[in-house]
Amino acid sequence: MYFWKCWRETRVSFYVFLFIAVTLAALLWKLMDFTMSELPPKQLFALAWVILLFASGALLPLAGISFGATGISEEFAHKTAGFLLTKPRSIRYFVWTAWAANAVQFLTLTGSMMLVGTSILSWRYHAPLTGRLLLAFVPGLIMTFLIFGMTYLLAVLHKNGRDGFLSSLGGVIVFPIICLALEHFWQIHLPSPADMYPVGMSELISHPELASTLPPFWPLVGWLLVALACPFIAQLVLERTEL
Amino acid sequence: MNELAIGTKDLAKTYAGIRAVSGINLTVPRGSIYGFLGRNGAGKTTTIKMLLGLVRPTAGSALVLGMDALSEHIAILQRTAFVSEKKTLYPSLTPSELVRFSRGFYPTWSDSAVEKYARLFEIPMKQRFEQLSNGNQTKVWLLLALCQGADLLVLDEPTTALDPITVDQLMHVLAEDALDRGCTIFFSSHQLEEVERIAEYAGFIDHGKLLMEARLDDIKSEFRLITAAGSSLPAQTSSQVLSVDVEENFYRYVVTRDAEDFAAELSRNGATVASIATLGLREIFLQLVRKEQ
Repeated sequence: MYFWKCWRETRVSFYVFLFIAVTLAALLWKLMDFTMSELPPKQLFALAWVILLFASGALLPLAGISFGATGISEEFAHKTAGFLLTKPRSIRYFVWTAWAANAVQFLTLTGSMMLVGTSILSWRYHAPLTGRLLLAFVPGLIMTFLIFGMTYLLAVLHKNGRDGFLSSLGGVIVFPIICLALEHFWQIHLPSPADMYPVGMSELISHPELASTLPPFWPLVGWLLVALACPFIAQLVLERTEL
Repeated sequence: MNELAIGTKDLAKTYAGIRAVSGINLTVPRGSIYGFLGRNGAGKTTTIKMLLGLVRPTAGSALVLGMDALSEHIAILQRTAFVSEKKTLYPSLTPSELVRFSRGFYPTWSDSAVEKYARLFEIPMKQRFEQLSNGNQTKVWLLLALCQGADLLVLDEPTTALDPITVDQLMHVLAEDALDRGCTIFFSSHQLEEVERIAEYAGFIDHGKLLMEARLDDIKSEFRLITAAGSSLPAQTSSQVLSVDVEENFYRYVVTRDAEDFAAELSRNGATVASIATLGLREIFLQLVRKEQ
């Protein structure tokens, strides 16, 4: 019911993101062959893998912020909450159903991008796929859930998806700047979702073989919990909201 | 209170110091049609929202179908169909898709009722909701409510934007189909003629206060319009005399009880009593609101 309705509202965006994700993943080897064919296959594979990680790390959070702005907050913005909330289900049901409908779409997006990308790269460069390599997708996936959860919560607080989207976008841009400034000027390290990544971006580009480094466990768990806390807070907020 | 579909006790709601509803006591018998009447902003919608658990009362309590409106509101919603004052629904869904969406929430849902009412109300089931006229949007709300198989229908201004023919059809459906199933109908309106047509009970609300609640027949029998001719007749209102209109030597009194006694007293004062007439719901409502003001 509500799951179907949420899917119906986001399916066009989902198909667009899926098309981009699969196309990127599928055509990556062609791009590598075209631009860096002089490199040995092992190095090409490592570099292609890093580019795939970056591409997913950019695309999936974008999907997260876009999907987070849909869901139950839009019921208030479109004045359909009076219809939905007189259905015999709890607020918890509506909040988590909308969240789950989007989560399934992210998992499908991540899975598709990962499967298509890794299969083609592995076939093209005759490189074995290891569990360690696949685990490199986990921080990106949790980051997506985090950004999605934050957007979802902000949209609920604003009771408007667009405002939630803009606030979240602001957060995504401003928070890393604050972290960098604190680190640079005062040597203060704020806990940041970047802690989930075992190797920095510039380091990974210069040493692509580091892509198989295992991500740190506790930051992953911590930020996953934060990501899950967002819809929970949204539920608590809505349970105290009057129409 | 269990014989009541709706029973409230001193139900009140205050928004930022403004009293939207001031301690009202509603008694809606099961299986009845109850018209909840009031002007715009009188407190009708806030009361309905409290009954459905969408708004928490500041004071008092409400039982709906024998269940507490606050703590058991999901069980209440399972057996209650609601038509909102604001007739907005998902703009991109068609009525057929809205039926598909709503059906799964209610075990008592009737697909045959969907067919019946879609045909009766001539609803274009394959057109997106946003492309429907205001009247058709209201009809979709009514269709979804009527097909739910609910024990209680709560309709907030259900005839908004409907043409007279559809209003007629709706009144027929409510009075015949819904009541045949033993359904209670609680509907708010400021269209007094509609209420007068089908309601058995009526409650008048103004400025958040319940001015009167009774059987419609009792309400009508309580009020009389007395027209009398004479000079120097009493022109003051009292607990019995709600209003007096004087035009030269003609006096028009609206009295609430013992109209015959009052007319006899006028005659003793030398007046010629021209008529003692019953009042329509509209006049009664206006008199009550004016008296309150």
